[in-house]
Order: sequence, then C-alpha cells, then structure tokens
Amino acid sequence: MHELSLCQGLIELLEAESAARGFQSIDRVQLAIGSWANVDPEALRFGFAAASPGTIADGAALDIEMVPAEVWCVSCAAQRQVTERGDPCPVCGGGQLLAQSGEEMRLAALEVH
Amino acid sequence: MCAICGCSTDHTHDHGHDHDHTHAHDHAHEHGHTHEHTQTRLIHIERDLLEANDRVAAQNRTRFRSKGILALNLMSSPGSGKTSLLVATLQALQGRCPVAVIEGDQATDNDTQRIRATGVPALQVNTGKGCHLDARMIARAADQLPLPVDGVLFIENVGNLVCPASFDLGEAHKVVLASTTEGEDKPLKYPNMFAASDLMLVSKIDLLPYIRFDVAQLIANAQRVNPRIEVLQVSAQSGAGVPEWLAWIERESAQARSNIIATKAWSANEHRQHRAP
Repeated sequence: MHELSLCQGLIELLEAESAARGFQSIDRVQLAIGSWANVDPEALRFGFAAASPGTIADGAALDIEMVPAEVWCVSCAAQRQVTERGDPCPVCGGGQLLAQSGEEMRLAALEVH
Repeated sequence: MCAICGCSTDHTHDHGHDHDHTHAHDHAHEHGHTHEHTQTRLIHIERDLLEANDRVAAQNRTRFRSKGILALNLMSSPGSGKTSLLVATLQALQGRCPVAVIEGDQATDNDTQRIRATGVPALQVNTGKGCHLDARMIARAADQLPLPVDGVLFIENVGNLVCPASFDLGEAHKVVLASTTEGEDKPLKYPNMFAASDLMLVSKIDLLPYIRFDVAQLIANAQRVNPRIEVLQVSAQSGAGVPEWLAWIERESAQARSNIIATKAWSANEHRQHRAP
C-alpha cells in the first residue's frame, strides 16, 4: 500500500503547480506509470480518493496510462517491450533482459481551470 | 381551470408567470458568464511522483558521501533474519570501523534494543501505518544519530518485499535477504525488490542439511530479474559466510571513503542537473 504515499506526493506536486501556474481547480490528472513500477492502478485510485478531499485535487478525475517497459535483450542484442517483469523476451524467449525503462511514475498532464 | 385560483381560464396570473420567465433568462445569461471562468486548459507537466522523496534522498546521499559513510539499506520479508545477521555483523565489525544503525519497524523498539546490546548507536523509526521507510525519515534519524564518519550506516527497512523497493533513502546499496526457509521463487514473486538490489544475501544456510531448498534455483531466479545482482550465502547462527559478507562491506566502505574528495564536485554537478528544466 505505498500507493497512498505516492498519492500524497502527487498532491504535493499539484499544490506546487497550482501555486506556480495560478490555476484554481483541477478537472483531470493524467499519470504515466511504468508497467514495472510496482504500482497497482486500483490501489492508486483508492489512495487518490482517500488523499484528495480538501486539497487542490478534490474532485479531479484520475487517468492512469500504463507504459510497457523497454528492455535490452542480451541474446537479441535489441530493444524490446515487456509488460510484466520476469516475462521472457517476446521475440527470442531469452531471460537476460536489462531494464531501460518501466519503473517511471510520472505526472504527465493536467486539465485545469 | 386555473391551477392558482380555481377560476375559469380568463386570468392575469399567467402574465405574472411570463415575467418570472424573463428573470429566468437573466439567470441563463449568468450561466454563460460562469462558463467563461470554467474554460479548461491542458498543461503538460512531466514530473516524477517520487520527486519529493528523491530530492531528500539525494541530500542524504550527499551527506553520507561527504563523510565517507557507506549507507546500506537492508530489506527482506519479515523473519528472514535481518536483525540477527545485523547483530552478528556488528559484533564482527566491533573496533574495526565506526558503525550506526537505523531500525525501521511499524511498531516496537525490540530490534533497536537488540542492536544497542552490542554497544552500537541505534535509532528506532516507527512507521506506524506506513509499510516502508522514506528519505525524510532517514534525514530526521540522521540528525539524531552520531553518524559513523568513514564507517558504515546500516538501515534496516520494514520487513516487506514490496514497498521498500520503490523508495530511495540515499543509501549506497540496497541489500536484500532471502532465507532458506522461504521459497526459491521469491525473486519471481517480488521481482522489483530483487531488481532494485545490488546484493542478495541468502540467509540461514546453516539449515540447509535439514530442509529441502535449492540455493542454485534461488540464485538463478534472482539473476533472471536482475542479471547484475551479486550473491553471498550467510548464516548468523554458525557464522558461515560472514567473513565474505564483511569483505564485501570492507570493499564498499573503502570505495565510499575514496569518494569523499570526488563528492564535492559530484554534488555540485547533481544540483545543477536537478535544477535543469
């Protein structure tokens, strides 16, 4: 349940953005979450619903885009996309995969007024 | 029949209603006015959700590196033997280098009492409902501890193979314990933890003669999720593998001490990178 901590961090970011850019309320929050980031989208929604009341994020919709991990497959010597950590290379079936991305947890965009 | 006065349908009441309708039109105009205020705009942002934690973690890392401190973040499931191995390690390190311990648990200071019995300064951090230590907790704890200059700071995280993997504390290395009484497939079930760690300690190897456990399979699974992970096998009970573990600590501690001079240039550079858009 570290998703609640993540949401508290997200709301700190939103409060800072509100102060810096001068918007009063948020209609929509768009997140990009790597598929290897150890984040459960449903737990994230639950955490957001628990953490947002009374803050700038109160009432905002939450969009979560799951981004597949980019890995370097050692046996293919090529860049591949793998959804689940521990899954083999989708092309050669090899298991020697070096993560290039997939653990990101980004606030991507906001709809504000 | 008129619904207001009950008379036949000749009436002045209806005209009154028409006037009310005119007022309603004024309201409609007000709605239009509000619409201007609610015009939404889309802002592209690109900020990391862990930004606040990572900023404090970077400060912790700079602080530890500037004092030649090797900070190790020990993680495992509950009951893998983190505290027992730590006690054995501290006893073996006694007199060899300065050490200190930050103990993370949801509740109690039982572990800190076990550590303090070895004579090593230790501070308990209770996370309450929290399932992991974060960088701010470590910053506060570091303010209260005598920091082991040119030595080793052990951070024992909350027993949990999930959440602690995501939170940088400012450590030099994450070290994960996997005990022989757990399944060989722990690295596959909790891949983030093993992917985030630089070293896996296979603990409780004194039990191997009595149980069915395939160490080679555990190691293969860990390397599958993290081809770069180092592995050592230890027993806090028998002391087996502890010298190799101490040698690993000594190697990394020497590296941390040699980093002191480089740290000032490094931290200035990192500061600039953080400020960059």
